[in-house]
Amino acid sequence: MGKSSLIIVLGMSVIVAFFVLKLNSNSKENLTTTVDMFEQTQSRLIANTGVEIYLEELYNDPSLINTTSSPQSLFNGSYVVNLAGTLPNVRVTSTATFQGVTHTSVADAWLEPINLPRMPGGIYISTTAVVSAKEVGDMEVSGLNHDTSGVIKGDGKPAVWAVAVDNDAQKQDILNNLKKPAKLTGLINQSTGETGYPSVGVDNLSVEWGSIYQYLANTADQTFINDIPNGTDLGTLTNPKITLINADANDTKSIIVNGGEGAGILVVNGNVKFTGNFSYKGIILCYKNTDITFESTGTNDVLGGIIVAGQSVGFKLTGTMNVKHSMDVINLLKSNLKADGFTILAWYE
Amino acid sequence: MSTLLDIIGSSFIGGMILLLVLKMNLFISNASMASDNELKLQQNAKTLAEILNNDFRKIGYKYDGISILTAEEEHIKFVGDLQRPGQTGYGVVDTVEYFVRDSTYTSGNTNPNDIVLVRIVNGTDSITGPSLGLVKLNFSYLDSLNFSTTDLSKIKYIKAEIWVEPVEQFENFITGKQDSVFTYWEFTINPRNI
Repeated sequence: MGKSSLIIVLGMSVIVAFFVLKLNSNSKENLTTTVDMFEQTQSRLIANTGVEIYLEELYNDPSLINTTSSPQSLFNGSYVVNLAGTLPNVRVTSTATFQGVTHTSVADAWLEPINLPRMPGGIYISTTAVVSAKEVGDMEVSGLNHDTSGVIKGDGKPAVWAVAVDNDAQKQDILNNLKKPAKLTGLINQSTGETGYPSVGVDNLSVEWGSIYQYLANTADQTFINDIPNGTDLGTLTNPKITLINADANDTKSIIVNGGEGAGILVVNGNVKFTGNFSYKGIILCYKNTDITFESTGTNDVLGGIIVAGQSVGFKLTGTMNVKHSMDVINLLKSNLKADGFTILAWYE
Repeated sequence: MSTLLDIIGSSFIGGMILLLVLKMNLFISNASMASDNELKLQQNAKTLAEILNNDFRKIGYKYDGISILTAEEEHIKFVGDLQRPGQTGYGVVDTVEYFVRDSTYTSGNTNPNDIVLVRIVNGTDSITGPSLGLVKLNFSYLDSLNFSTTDLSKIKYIKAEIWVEPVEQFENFITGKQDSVFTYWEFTINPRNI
């Protein structure tokens, strides 16, 4: 009887043990099914992150093109990125491994250049801007085409308006307030390309300047909210910079730029005073409520153009202010300004 | 007499134990089958989700036009290169279509509710056969602000919902009724190329 009981108990134990093992095995399999999905997803996310990280790396250091990274650790996994192509085009291949699961993501990207606004005149005044016609008339503005040294190229053609505005009312306001029409030279007949003075024309760019301002502010190489000392690098034509001078962010709402020179795009917001002679090659964009004061009794030069797109923009001149249109300068800016960043053309994941 | 009583008593007890063992064995078999079935259910749901997930992420890859050609609740057709650079077939934009067939098209299962998910790549039916327990499928299409849209050019997200039941349905050993086990799997995919 004792042996029989033992056999029965052992037999039942074996059956139950098999059953428990079976359930355990199914439970593990079930868990593996879920974990597999997680591992694949994690591996894909690591590979995608590798693409993003190395596009930023390449943006900061273009010499990384046609190189392969060493294995990089991320989220308990690792990835290796290969950057292949000829800039501005690049193919980024990121291979990630997580818990033995491998995923490869491939992205084709293009290094997008800065989108420069078109310059229809030496000075362009948008319709939303309130600017004193007299102040504009105090400047020497030339819509003739100049070289990078500020010398008129040939006969100065193709020329643009010395002052371009959005509508006829603005044009008439400036013409009515001009004391020395000869100060505004440039295009006087759009259809024939004839040049002369006073050169004031209508060319509505229909641009949302708020977006342009924000775009340039976001891509700025440097931002100043305090006074800028003399000698500060505001860019050169071979290495132009996007500089944001945001006086509105300053406690005194005013910034002093102590002379000097620069090249690129100068985005100005608020009251900015230039002391000492100032020379700039590129585009000055005056936005929001801006007062630009040139306190020097000497000569201030802008070779490229000024865009007046703020709600209220004033120019106060003590000395001479020359604004000269130059396609050479604008083209050099287009070539030499740092790119805006990579745009993804295609992404395989 | 007492010997006879002992034999009858021990036979009764032995019979009871034998019945107990048999019942336990039946229960174990049934529970084991149910467990296997549930496992298969999960694996089938995962397989379906993986297939959809894998293809939907390729929508619009290497294609410049409007990539989604058809966007219906149980039917989607899109274009995109399914292969990555270096793989055979890369550079040729594929046309992929998913739709469902009713239970008459299924084979090898006993669930009357199941449907078959058909995947057609470049006009060729590349996945046919068992339903994998799929009983309901629903695609919905969202724009960049997560609002439902039927405008093919504005689709940015595809939400897929799948309902999967066990391929083989059988009665529960205890309740005597068919189990109403099912899995619901929902995922939203943002194809990067649209």
